[in-house]
Amino acid sequence: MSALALNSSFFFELKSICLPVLNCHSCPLAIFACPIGIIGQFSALHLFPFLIVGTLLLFGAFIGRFFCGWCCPFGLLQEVLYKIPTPKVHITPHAEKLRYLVLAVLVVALPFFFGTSTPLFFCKICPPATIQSALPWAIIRRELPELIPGLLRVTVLLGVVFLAAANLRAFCKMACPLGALMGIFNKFSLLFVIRDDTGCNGCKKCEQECPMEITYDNQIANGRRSSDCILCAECGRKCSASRRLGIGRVNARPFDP
Amino acid sequence: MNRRTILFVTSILIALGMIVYGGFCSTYKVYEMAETQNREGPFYDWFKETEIVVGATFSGVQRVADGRMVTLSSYRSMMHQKLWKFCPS
Repeated sequence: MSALALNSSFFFELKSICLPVLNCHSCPLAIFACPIGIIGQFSALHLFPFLIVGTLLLFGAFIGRFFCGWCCPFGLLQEVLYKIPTPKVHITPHAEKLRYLVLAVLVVALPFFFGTSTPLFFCKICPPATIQSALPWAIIRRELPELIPGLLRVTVLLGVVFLAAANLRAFCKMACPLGALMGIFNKFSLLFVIRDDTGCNGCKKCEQECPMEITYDNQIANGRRSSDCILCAECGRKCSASRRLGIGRVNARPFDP
Repeated sequence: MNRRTILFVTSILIALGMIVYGGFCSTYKVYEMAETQNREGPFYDWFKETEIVVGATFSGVQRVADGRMVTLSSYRSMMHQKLWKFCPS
């Protein structure tokens, strides 16, 4: 539904607005602009993207990474890929920090110094953009893209596809720059996963169901909120006694098994 | 008020300030910097159109790239024609 809702030519005027979801705006069918693409373009122009950062901050303050869990078409694709019976791997918390590097280097620094035409600029290798825009356009126009950038794109996409088949939402965990940015707002967002201590029996089913592999020990001890949480509420689906997605007070108790 | 409440309220105020400033007051800087930086590649072309629609969405009428003022409906048909011929990716 989100893939269809975000990609149709209806409500064309909304293409000017960014939503906190990685959905390539290069495709004419896309309704909303991609915040990561716009941030990169502003960086190339040596300007601070006030409108985009303001929009992300507004969304983030109210709903944190809700869009990651409920509206991202590439997240959905990764969940489908994970159902392929392949050997599964674990991604360490240290490897998950890689997404901050992707945001700082591929989205901001490279276009700042070399412009958006550099082949390593994030949009040039972005897997969702390859699927939603680059490949369809190559087919529609019946012309091959340039060799090196084209190969780079496809290689990155294949790498992400294999990784997503081996680890649920591997791209979200390791490489999504938008997730890295929106995760910051999880710390104080109005909407979050709320824990009810009285119903918890310590079975840890919530941890087993979490697609982002958030555990009490590694990320959310002492009542901290995890920046990895995508508010998908899978934990609450298995344990409705003690977990729920809550729109409550800002100081509501966070997910804390 | 606890720390989260303060952060939440502050971020809302900052976000609204950024949206107003970025959406209404600083759009001209994009054109200036594009000329200064000499970076008017296809991605910038795309953004330039995007920025114009932002103005149109907020105010109804907006300046297009060549300086003309157009209404949202006429702009819509122009953009449709352009978008279907253009892919920055």
